[in-house]
Amino acid sequence: MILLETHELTKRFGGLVAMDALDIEIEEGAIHGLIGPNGAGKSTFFNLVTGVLAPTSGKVVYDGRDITKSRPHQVAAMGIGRTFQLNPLFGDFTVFDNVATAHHLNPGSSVPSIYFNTKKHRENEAWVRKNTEEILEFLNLSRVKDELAKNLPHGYQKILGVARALAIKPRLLMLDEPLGGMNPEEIAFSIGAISQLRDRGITVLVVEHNMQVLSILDHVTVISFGAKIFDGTPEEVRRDKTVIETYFGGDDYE
Amino acid sequence: MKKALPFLILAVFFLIAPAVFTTRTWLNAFILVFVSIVGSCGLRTISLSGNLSFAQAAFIGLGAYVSGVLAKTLELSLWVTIPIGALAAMAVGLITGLPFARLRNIYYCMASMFMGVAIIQFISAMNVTGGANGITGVPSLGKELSKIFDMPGIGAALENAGVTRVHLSADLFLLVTVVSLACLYRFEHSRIGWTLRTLSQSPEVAASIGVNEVFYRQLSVAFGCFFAGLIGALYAHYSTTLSPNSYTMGTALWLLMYMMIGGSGRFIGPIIGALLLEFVKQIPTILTSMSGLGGVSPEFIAFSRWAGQYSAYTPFLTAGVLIVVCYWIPGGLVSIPARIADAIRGHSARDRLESNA
Repeated sequence: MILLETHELTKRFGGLVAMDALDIEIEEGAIHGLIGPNGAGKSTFFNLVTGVLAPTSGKVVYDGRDITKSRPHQVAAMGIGRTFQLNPLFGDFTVFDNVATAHHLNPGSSVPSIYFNTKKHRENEAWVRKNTEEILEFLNLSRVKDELAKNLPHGYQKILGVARALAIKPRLLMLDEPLGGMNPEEIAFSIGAISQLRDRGITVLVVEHNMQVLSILDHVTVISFGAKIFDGTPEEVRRDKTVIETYFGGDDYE
Repeated sequence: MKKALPFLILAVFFLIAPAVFTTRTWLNAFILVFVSIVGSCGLRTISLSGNLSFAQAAFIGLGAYVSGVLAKTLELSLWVTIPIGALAAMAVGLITGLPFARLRNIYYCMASMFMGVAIIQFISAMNVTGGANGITGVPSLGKELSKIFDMPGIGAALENAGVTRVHLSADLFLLVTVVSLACLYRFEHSRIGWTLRTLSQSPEVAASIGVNEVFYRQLSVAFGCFFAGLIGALYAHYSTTLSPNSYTMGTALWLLMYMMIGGSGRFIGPIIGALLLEFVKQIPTILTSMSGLGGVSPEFIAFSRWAGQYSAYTPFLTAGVLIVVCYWIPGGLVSIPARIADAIRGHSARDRLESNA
């Protein structure tokens, strides 16, 4: 089943075409890679799908519904979690509070029940604390859970971004360069964690430069200058001539 | 327990104080302090989401005018018009807030500043509000409360308990202030307050976890404006006069200053700030009225005259205090105990800042 698809998704900034009639289909339960050189339009794609930017034309269909005009918080409520390339955090909150606060949608107490601290809300809060502990345990963040997020090393902050996105119980998780700036140890851990997410039934879309991620991908789309230049399996992409030319230039690469 | 201690001390102070300082001037000063406390705590509630509002004084004024004018022209009971005043302030806050709810930081400051000025200009331009001169003869809260004394049995019991008619107004203000603060405290310390603070740190991330920015900003505006309007409406019936000059930008800046100097990071900050600075503002009035009572030395009278002249310089004094606070104690006055504790333990505040950076 196709979880997310785009039809001729186009975004122009003045004369610049950032996204040129892109068609992508993301299979439910897969780890889908979106790769491409700098400026290829990967972050634009993220922002178009999550409603941060409105496309010039084309549409985004998620789970059979047209979400092209949805706002970011509505997209999140439909089960699309995301991280950010530059990884902003709630820096003044502890790691635990970052993830606990991210349970805004689940289990979703109403405003009056939060204000009057009803029995239902207290049960929800207990569940949130338990679920937060589980997420932190899964991503190996438990031992830093009382640190302020802004004091964490970069690699931990990246992983915290994933933990926060998991708190909304996503069906589709979109990771914007999750391995950026990580050391080899952290890269190995993150790649392991991402492949475990698939085992938990979460569809993952990864935007990444680091080719180590190819080993866990089920499907790869390569874009360049806002247009799709390749769509297929990781094995095929390694042999594809257009992709090799885009990345390395010249035609006598062998 | 440790957290509740400052609030307990404050509550005890306010309970005892009106009994010790019995003159009308002191009571006026106390009631102005209550208005400032609720006004600037409401302002802080709005600013939890990272937006500073410059329109808070206008919302206090809106509550005052709606309640005062309704009670005077339609001869409604002030117990009906006071809640209407509060709800009107909230409604106007929500309606004018809608186009502004997507503005952030300095843009919100500017928009709210113009909105505050516009509301007061609008009030000054209407006939029913008495225009720029304001109106007098607003139904009096004191009179309404005195009726309790006329009830058989209750009046005598109250007088035996040492409660005077003048005190009753101050006690009502104390009650409304405590209830308002309790409501605002609960708002901030529930999950709602946490959600608002996510907006102040990163609206983009907040949206990615499903926070509806407009809804939550509006929710904080509703709370902040409702209580500002409530205390404003109450004050209109206490002072029985209404003047647009009381609710200008200047007043809004004072409210902001109480919050910044007291410490905007903690709930008790604006309470401390309003308490101290509002009294500083009242000192000349209090001294003058004390020398008017007679039985004081000529030196005291000379001193109070001098102090009366200095009152023109209060804004300069407060600006000076604000600069000192901004440079040396960014957490405001409420952060001083923690700083002293740190100094005793041997870490300077600078060390801690650097280790946090």
